[in-house]
Amino acid sequence: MNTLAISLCIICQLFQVTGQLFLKKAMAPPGTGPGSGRVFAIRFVPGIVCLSLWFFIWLGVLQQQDLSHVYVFEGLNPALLAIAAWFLLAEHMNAKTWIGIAFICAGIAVVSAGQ
Amino acid sequence: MTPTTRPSSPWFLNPYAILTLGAVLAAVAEVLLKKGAATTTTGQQAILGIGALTAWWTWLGIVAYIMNFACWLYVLKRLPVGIAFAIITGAAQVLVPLGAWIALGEKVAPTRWVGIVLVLAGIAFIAQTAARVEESL
Repeated sequence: MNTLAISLCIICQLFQVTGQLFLKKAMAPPGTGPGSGRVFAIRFVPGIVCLSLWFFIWLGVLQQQDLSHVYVFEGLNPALLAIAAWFLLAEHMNAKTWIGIAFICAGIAVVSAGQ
Repeated sequence: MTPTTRPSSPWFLNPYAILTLGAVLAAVAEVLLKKGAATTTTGQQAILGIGALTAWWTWLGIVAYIMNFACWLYVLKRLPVGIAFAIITGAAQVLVPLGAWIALGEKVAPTRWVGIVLVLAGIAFIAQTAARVEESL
């Protein structure tokens, strides 16, 4: 896999996780205040934009690469969620989580390097 | 007083059966998207694959993804999210390369399977954390 394809696969996963998180926030129980509709839109619209970008970048990747070669990058999804919690919620990352991230990265490296 | 018994739901509404169906639909969706993308390939790496929307395969893939999402919503109400997340993510990691091999004729080299096994191990380690994070974010 070339560098551009690997970069696009990683960017794809970043958009997917960001979109999922925005939509999750948008679907939280709505407030009753006058600005609740605006708050919903501020979360919903970026969520849809991120997921659309994920989808079209993914289609672009699939036009050139084997599905079995690039699908392994989907494994980054839980790792990125854990890293997001570390940054956004200052959540403690235990050893198990780090080991999981290391395994996922190693797996992706093995698949990316192979034919 | 006689205990009341809840009528048991049919086997195909069992959350694990629906979860399995969801994983199969995810694999089917990916194979269909790949077929749609492959029929509209431009010969060089495009950033966005918008052209794939002209292929029927792509739209069938989107339908399969929507069905997969419906399965996921059904399961989330009935199973702990950590277990459901680990099973569906792990199963898709195995089913998608199998689908690509069977339906698309892709050659899945042994090194790819080694990588997939490593990713599966990583998902098993991280699934509980990722599910908890998804709940709290």
